[in-house]
Amino acid sequence: MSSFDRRTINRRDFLKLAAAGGTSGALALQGCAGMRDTTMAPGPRVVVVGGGFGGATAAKYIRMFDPGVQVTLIEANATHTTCPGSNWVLGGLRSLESITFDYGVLRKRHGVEVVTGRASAIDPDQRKVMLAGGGSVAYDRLIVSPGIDFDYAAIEGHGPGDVERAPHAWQAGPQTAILQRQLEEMPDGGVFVIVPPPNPFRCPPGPYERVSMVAHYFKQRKPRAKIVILDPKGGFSKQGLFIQGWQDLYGYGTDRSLIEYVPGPDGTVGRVDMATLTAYAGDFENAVRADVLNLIPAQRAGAIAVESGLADDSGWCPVDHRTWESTLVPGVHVIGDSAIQAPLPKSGYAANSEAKVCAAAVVDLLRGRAAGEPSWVNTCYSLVGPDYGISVAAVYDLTAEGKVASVEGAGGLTPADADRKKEALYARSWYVNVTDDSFG
Amino acid sequence: MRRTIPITAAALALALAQGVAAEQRIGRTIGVTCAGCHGTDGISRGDAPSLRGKSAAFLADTLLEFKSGTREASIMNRIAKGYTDEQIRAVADYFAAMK
Repeated sequence: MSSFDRRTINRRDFLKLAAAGGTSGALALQGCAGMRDTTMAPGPRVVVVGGGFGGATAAKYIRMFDPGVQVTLIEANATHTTCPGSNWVLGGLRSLESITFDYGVLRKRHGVEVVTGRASAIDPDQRKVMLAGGGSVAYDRLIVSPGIDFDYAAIEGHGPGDVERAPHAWQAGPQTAILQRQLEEMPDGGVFVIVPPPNPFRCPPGPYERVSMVAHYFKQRKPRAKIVILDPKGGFSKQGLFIQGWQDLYGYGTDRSLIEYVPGPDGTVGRVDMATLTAYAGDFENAVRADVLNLIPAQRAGAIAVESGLADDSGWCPVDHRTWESTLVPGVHVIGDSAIQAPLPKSGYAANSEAKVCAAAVVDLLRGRAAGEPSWVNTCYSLVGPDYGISVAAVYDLTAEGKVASVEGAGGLTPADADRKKEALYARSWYVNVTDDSFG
Repeated sequence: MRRTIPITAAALALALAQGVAAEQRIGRTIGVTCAGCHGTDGISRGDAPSLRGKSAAFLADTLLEFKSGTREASIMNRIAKGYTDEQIRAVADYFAAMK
């Protein structure tokens, strides 16, 4: 290897040569270790598109696993407002600023190059990502973590232009602020209608934590207000725990309940009238007029994933769960909500866990090693009230068929007799650590 | 025959080194999944306990007690049941080795 002139060999060819050597792993390691200190031939380059839980964690952990790998994170926004915690803002428990993170620590502490700009296209043959503002960034491996996009077709009368009148607030930030302002301006005695999306969607317990937090806000400030859930689904995540919490805190099941829950098919909204904020639900199109309408559309993989051919007919991206490499486009890995990841849920914690498996695999592959055995965890906490927390957790491993699967006998929900106050404490601790582990 | 002894010793040393490396890798793979609740490198910034630098015996015993249910927790019983005893020892070693 020492006879190579490093100024004239292209990085990818070098890696191919190193990987092709007889004792490939050791040789690749040695060669690359020698390259790390030279500015002539920097280490392999990974580009990450999307700076949410998945992308930020992947960028950070690649640098932690192998500081010889260069990482460029491309993210359209200078800051990220987390979806976890955004319902707590609606409940009045936190400010929007307190759930907003910038990329300064990734840049300074972890040496991630952060490009604030929109990735407009991927060229998998030339191995580069085009930027909407012009120019491109070359990669040896690409990680795409663009979150979700919305599909407005399922509900007649509703389109992308309606998100200020009827916010989804399913990407936290300005949408959360709009919904919060509408709830504040709503008169006491008004009706808040929430339309959760059909499966699969980001954060399965999220709509029901939102109901809980809005109920908490109404109980304090607008005790005559009502919440109506018009749900296309027949059931939902942590349902038993939420229902028990609503009974304990919000009179659910009594004639003074703050919350009315209408499951599908009666709750399925087929049409809305945006002028009067009326939702028509069920086969008989029962009209429900809202003072505040939180319409969360059906979801699919983020636009760049769909436009780059990473998604299949389902609208989501099939991947090899050992490496999270796309099964459709080689050299491109997809993590987080955009990926087909079930039974892992589309959650921030799962994206963080997937990012670490992907980061380790990408480093292995760049260094000419086989990707190791993966392991994942998901934990999701929800607050039903400020001192009333519930959780769901699971451990996942890879099956012999190469698919992610829940480890049998593990995981599950908050036990019926568990201390909800302690769960609420741990929910806040969870938020502090999962955000720090991703953005800090 | 004389040659086989050093080769065997070398092979044994290599196998041992590979075994240690494999155990460390398992420990890291599982250990980083803990970080979402217990902080990067096991340094918690919230109420969940830090894991970094705790003794391997303490960490393994505690996790094994969570797994068997002899120690109660709000969430760790559910999590610890997802691992073999060997995986628990590997992750205990991973956090114990961080000083």
